[in-house]
Amino acid sequence: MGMIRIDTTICAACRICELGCSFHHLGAFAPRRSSIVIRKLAARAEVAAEVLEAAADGRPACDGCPDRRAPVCAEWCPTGAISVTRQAEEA
Amino acid sequence: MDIPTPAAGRILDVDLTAGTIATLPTSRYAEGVIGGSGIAIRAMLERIPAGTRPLDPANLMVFSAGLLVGTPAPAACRTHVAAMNALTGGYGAASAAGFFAPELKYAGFDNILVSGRAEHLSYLWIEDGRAEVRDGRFLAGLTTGETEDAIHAAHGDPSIQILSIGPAGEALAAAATIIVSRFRSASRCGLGAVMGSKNLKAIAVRGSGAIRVAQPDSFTRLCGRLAGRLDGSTTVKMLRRFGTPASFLQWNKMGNLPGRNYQDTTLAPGVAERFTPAQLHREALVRSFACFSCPIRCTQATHLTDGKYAGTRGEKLECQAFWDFGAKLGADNVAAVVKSSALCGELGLDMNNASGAIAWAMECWQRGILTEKDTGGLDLSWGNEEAIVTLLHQIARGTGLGALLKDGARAAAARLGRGSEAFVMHVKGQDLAEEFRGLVGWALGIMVSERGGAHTTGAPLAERYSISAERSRELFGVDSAADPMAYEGKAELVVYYQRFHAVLEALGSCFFASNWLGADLLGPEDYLALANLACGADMSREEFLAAGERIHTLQKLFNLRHTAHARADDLPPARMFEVPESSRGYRIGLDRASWERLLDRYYDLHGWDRETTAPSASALSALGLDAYCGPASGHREPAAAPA
Ligand code: SF4
Ligand code: SF4
Ligand code: SF4
Repeated sequence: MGMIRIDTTICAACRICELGCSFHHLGAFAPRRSSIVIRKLAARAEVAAEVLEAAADGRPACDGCPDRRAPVCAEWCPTGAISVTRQAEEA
Repeated sequence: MDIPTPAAGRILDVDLTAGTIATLPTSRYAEGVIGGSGIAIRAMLERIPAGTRPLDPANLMVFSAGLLVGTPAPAACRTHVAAMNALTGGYGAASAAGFFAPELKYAGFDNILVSGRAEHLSYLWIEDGRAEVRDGRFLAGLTTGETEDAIHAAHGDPSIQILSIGPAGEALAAAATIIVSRFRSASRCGLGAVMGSKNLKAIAVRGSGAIRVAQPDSFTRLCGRLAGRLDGSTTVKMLRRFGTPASFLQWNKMGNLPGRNYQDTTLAPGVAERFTPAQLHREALVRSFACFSCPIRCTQATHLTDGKYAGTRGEKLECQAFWDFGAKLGADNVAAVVKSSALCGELGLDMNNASGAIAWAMECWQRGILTEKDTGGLDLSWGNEEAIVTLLHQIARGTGLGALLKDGARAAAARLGRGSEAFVMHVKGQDLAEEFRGLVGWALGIMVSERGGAHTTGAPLAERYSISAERSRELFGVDSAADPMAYEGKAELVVYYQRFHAVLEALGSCFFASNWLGADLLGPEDYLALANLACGADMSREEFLAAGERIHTLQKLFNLRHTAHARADDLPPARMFEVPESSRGYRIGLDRASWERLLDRYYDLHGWDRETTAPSASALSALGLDAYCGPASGHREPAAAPA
């Protein structure tokens, strides 16, 4: 299981990670069905981000993309805002 | 089983008078026009009856999400809005980036058709395949930001995507715009007024559905490659740091700014230093954001923390704001431009049309045609920021001098008289928004635009990104982009971009990712590859660009049906054939005889009549538009055209 962290000071709120995550789960594009939630707080020029550890509101929990070389969200993110810590299975 | 395509498959059809909501299959209008804006013009031709005026209930508004919207195609996020133009009476359209259009697709719709007029102020609520018209009276008088906050609060969900009008749209000002995703404007053509005339304050949408493509793995790999190419581009690096305002001083250096209502083409001595990108950064820029699925992130968030405008926040500051307020109205500092731009967003004003009307008023003041008696004591001297801010408020609410200015300079001059007509700078009735005396192709693209001016329907930027003749030929098939003042090859360059822009619009793709902005960005072949993989199609480049020509031709037919526009309306205002004293030494100045030859060439390339501009029967036939031949469909034979 990996740990996904999002640096909201770098994040541009493009939601490409949500697209990637839903593609990983569904093979289709459905940002509201991704395990990652990016919310732009436009009036304050800020971003809030969350990675779901448990399924909620029709969104699956983050599974860390075990079948992939790297988590899709991090691979697709154009700003480098997503960092991944991959722990060994037995840890 | 059908091959999946990125279309949501359905169109929402709302009649606000009858209070009915129906759905149609997208295929009803999509053939040969890709989607998005292509569907819009087909629906408008079919449904807007002859004799309709822009603010009549019979005017049809079409809100569109293009074919690639909702996929990870780079920057495919734009919301397109079309309707009969409140300023020209002809084709009207605008688009804005942001987050609304993808949400619409996830809710199950490619387009929304809105006709009629609601009994009282309303908003349209769309969620996962369903829609309802809701009471919007609690939104009356709110700014666009307040409207978004109020709808979010009413639904208890700040993630809902919204487009709305501000006080300006409610007041039916032709200078009104529609604001998308809080800060992005679908500017020009008075679409905010059309929306106001329907008593439609906002559209709010939430969608949790999925968009699919035919070849998902190849498609996403291509998206990644294209994003990588954008990432390496120097144009993109500039956009990320400063947004489009970075180019303001380059336009000044070329002597190509609309100073004081086009009386000067450069900034006054000493003023340029106040607008350096470094200064802009220091005073106003906070961070850069991206729109949905965009790796470019050109959107600068602005925040003024010092001075009299402290507390002002905005986003998506564009070079256009510096043309409009800095050059055209003479406001000589960053803060005044940032404030005016942000205020337009809140009030739901199109800054191009609002500043056009103010520029006309300021020139009337300069010449003693308007005095304190007319302005209620306001001093309309060039650059007076207090007057600019006050007038923006007045235009948005139709109060004070705003009652005269709210429908643009041409309408204002027609009402005022006193010789003020000579200072109206307009294209087909809509305020001119750009200087163009130093760029022949840019000028042509703006003047022949079916939407009444503006530079996003064919006007090439290539003339100012200094490329070699060889590279120009490689990209566009003509050398002409290398020489801004050449006439030869400029009609070809404009037709290239008319087709390319029309295709991009139908796809829902932001032009900033395309070679419009820089020679190193994406070309038609890249978008064709995306479209083919997304749809499992095998379209050729010729067919792809023919779809652009078809969409453009349909827009032309709409104008022929609803307006008397002809060749004379493609001629720049007289002032644009003069070179101001202060601009001697710059390589600018249009020539009337050369312009006339350029127009001939332009109409010939399309197969349009040189006087009436009507497409020939064979040009229509070549595009498969035979059904539109004949006067009943808007196609006028040359002989039937008005003198
Ligand atoms: S690691 Fe995989 S499952 Fe988790 S948020 Fe990223 S893409 Fe989604
Ligand atoms: S892809 Fe990266 S930059 Fe874009 S929203 Fe996700 S974390 Fe932010
Ligand atoms: S290029 Fe700029 S305006 Fe266009 S989609 Fe990207 S961030 Fe938005």
